[in-house]
Amino acid sequence: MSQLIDVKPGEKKTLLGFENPQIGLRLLSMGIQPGTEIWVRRTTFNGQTYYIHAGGKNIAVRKKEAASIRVQ
Amino acid sequence: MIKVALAGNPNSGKTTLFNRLTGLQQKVGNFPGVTVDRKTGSLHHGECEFRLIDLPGTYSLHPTSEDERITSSILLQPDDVDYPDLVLYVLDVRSLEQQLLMLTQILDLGLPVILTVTMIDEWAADGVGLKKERLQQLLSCPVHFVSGKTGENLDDLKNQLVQCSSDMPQPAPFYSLQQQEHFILDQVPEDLFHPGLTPYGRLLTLEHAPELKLLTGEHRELCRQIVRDHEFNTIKSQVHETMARFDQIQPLIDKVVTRSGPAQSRTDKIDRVVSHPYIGPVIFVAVMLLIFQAIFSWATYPMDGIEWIFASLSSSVQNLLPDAWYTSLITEGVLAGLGGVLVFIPQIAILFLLLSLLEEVGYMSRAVYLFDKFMSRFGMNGRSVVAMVSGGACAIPAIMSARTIANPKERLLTILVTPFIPCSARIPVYIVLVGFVVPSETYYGPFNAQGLVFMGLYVFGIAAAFGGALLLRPFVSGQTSGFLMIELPDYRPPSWSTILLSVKNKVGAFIIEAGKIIFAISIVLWFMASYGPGNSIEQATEAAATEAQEMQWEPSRTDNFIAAKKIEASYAGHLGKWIEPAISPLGFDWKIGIALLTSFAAREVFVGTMATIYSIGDTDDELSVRDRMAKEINPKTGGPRYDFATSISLLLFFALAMQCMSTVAVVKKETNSWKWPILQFAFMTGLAYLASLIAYQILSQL
Repeated sequence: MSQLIDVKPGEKKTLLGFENPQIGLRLLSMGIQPGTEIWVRRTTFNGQTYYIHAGGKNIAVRKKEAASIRVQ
Repeated sequence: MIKVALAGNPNSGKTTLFNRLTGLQQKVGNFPGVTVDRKTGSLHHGECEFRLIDLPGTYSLHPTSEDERITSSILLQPDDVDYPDLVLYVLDVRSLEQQLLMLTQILDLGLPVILTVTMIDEWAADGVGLKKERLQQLLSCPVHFVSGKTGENLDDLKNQLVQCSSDMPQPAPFYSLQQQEHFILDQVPEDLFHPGLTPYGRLLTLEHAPELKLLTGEHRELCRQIVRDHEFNTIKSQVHETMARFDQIQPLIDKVVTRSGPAQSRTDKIDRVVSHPYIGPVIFVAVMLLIFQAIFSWATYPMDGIEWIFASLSSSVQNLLPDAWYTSLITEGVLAGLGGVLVFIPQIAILFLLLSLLEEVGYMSRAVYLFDKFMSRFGMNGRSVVAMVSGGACAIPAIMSARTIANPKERLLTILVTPFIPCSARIPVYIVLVGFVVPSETYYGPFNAQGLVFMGLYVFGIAAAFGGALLLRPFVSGQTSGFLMIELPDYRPPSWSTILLSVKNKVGAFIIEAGKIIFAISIVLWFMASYGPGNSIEQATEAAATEAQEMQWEPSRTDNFIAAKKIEASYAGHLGKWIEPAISPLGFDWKIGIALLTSFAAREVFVGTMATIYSIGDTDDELSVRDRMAKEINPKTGGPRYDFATSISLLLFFALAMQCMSTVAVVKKETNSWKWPILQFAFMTGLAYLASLIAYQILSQL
């Protein structure tokens, strides 16, 4: 089990859950739920914003939001 | 009349469908107390009349942003003016799971729903199919496929609306409340909730009582207390509910969706370049420069045209009517005011044409992704970059473009600092003054010194905007977005009707809302420059005419001389002299004082006023104005009036001060209050005063 920020771009993972319930609820309502396939496509040049793919769609999240996503 | 609300996720094609249904019969306003667009429109079909409202695009009825709070509060208040009789739920098939979430929540509120599936052509091309009848059966609500773009099947949908008006679809509840949720609702007094609310509606009201303000303060407090006393974990309950809905939605989707082949490949290919860590920002800057260039240069022709029309109108009125006060009111007050409003239309239209094009194809969210971190350091948003770049041409459309920033605090900060960005109206003022700072022949290596000063003024303005954001940040209440989490939608071809309608709405709103204020201030400024206390104007005119006669000047020189004496005797002249003690520490005299007052209309008026005061007839020629100003002697020092210290001080003043009534008007319109434009004026002009004071006091001692 690890956080999404520790995963290399392009490496496909499975979403386990969220550390922060507020962030989790928001992502859930966007259709991102545990069990879905998730991976990082790329980050901005400073590595502070993440372009992720999850639940069949692309989403931009901040580093601290990506850090609260647990994956396996 | 039947009230229909369009609801759905962001990017679901909701607005395109709304435009299709209402055509030009729509009104854009604000929801009470907030600055989120409230779009309403009407539709007549058959014997029926419908009033449509376009709710903000949202993901869930558990609100996390201002937009979502609006949607939730409307749907939870049966006595709200916007509470619908019928919901038109709009979705596109690509992320069906996520979009069905809010649909099931709305069904659980007991509202009749028609489900409308958009973008049918696009997903057919991607190999995605949807079994309409099966979906209809499983959700027990009517389902329609339409193409927002071509209008295909739109009549079927309208017929369905008419049919529903006499026979509303009966929603079937979707989610069953947990034991604990039933229990907590039982603790709340029955009469606290509106009788029209279903148990789920009551649960939502209870969970979001503090932020939605649906109940009275007393009842809100009661709700909070009940939640606390029974240790009811609202977040946990919301997560459980959402998960439970998805558990029910997933098997439903498996039954109705058919997929063949992977989608998304086009978007991926584009984003490999456009969202690339290094190439992406370069492309963004290039796109912004293109927009800047477009507003800056394309708008020149229609703007010149508008100015020419008003100039010719004004001169023909002058020829037709006798030389009286009302002629001057019409030409210098009314026509000048109207022209001053209409001249912004080309810039606003071009900017919004390009910005809505970028929004429509899905590019804007990439800009947010790329610049989120950088801008959030200044309390702003990735989208603020767009406003600030556009501000380089003109602050008016730039401030209006800040409307796309969903977070109120970030939007307000963007509005407050955008006028610092050097706009095109500052250029004529800079051209006149830069010559007093450095002679045109000076070169540093290959660089022309005046060019360097110009560049320095631009860098200064941009730095002032970011610095201003840092200074103002603590004074703007509210939270910056705690999170980013935005969807990066698939790229898609734009809908031109949506783009053109957005341009029309922006231009219309500007003319009506900001136009009134600009017009009123123009009349006031005209009055101040044309009238003086008692008969001072007549006396000044007579004295000037006599003097000119004695000097035996030619008629044009006499006219210019009289004009100069008239403005000196006017209220503006008196006011200029009256404020002289306040501005003389900045190195300004009363003549500059008059120009500062009149150039509140717009910065470039400074040059025209200077031309009048120094009695030069031709106001178009900045160089002759500069020549005349160069000859002016400062009686205190015996040196030139516009020496290095005064000129730098004046340049700084124009770089920082809010010398633009149109910006004030548009900020009033966009923030829906006088508080912010007044504070912004005080902040900018105060800062300008301080900077000029320090610069002059130091430089004049050297």
